[in-house]
Amino acid sequence: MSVSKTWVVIIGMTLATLLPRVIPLLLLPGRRMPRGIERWLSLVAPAIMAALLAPELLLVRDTLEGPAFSLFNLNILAAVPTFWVAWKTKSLFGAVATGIAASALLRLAL
Amino acid sequence: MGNKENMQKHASVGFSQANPVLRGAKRSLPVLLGFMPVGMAYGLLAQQLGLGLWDTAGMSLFVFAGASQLMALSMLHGGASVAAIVGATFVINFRHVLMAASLSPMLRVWSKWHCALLGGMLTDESFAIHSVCFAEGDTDPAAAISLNCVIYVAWTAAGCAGYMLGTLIERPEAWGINFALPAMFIGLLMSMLDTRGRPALIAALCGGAVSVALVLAGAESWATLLGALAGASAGYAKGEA
Repeated sequence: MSVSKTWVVIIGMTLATLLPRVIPLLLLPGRRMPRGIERWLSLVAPAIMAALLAPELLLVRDTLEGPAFSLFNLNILAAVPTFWVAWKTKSLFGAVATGIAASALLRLAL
Repeated sequence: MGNKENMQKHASVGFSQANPVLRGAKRSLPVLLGFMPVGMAYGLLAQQLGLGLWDTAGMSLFVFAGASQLMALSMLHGGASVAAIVGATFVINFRHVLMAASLSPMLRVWSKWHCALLGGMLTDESFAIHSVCFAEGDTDPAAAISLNCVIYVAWTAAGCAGYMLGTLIERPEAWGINFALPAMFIGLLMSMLDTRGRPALIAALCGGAVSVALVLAGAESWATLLGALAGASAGYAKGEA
């Protein structure tokens, strides 16, 4: 692939990522929104987190290949103690450390 | 929820630190653990697909979006057109419109510059932390932007490190670091469910289900965006706050 094409892609991607990030924050704050919309927006955060997480857990996929469904994969097993620690301690650091340790130990054990 | 749990939650996001810049930086530490492996994986893949170091670092510096960067590498490798790559990036990152919009009601007193800085460096991870902190009442722009800056520098550094490590790490999954990202999302999700109640649980379950269904259907670039829209709407319709 040529160097110039890579940089054309980078510049195009910069616009494609920057505009959705910045425009709402320049236009929306200070505007009065109906309470219903504010309540809907407060539910966007958990919905996005779950939408990012669920395929990572349930569908093991290679970056370059298509999705492959497999239940009882290591990710699901490692998620069990991670969920538990995250819920009990409310510590983000604890959740990440538990997840990494569980994943490594499971790989050693199985 | 009891007092004890509230104190623990504040401690977990570094609420106690008085200096806002340090407070923001401290909050970034657990998420660094989550996304640095992704940044390194991006650098490694870029190196294997024959990109130069400057291209690799440049994409991290300018694009600053993990999923899109990994996707762009595989599309470049597959010979996709510029328009196809930029279009897919736009679809994947359109979820940031929702994130930025959901933060905006809490930023009434912020200046335009602060808003632009917050938005320009918004990521899934920083959004999640901002969302939790703003809801807890800490809307200091210095803390929020400091967190963004640390993540920005660390993301680029991780990409370069991955590039230079090249093939040194042959099986990163043996160290469990491939699970760091899902573990981070689990931690972030749990702190949101704790404060937002039943509608949030419904939003999460529905968002996850729609996202998985779309990935299975082959519409991977739409999964997060449509999952978020469906989840928030389901939580809104089914749950009473």
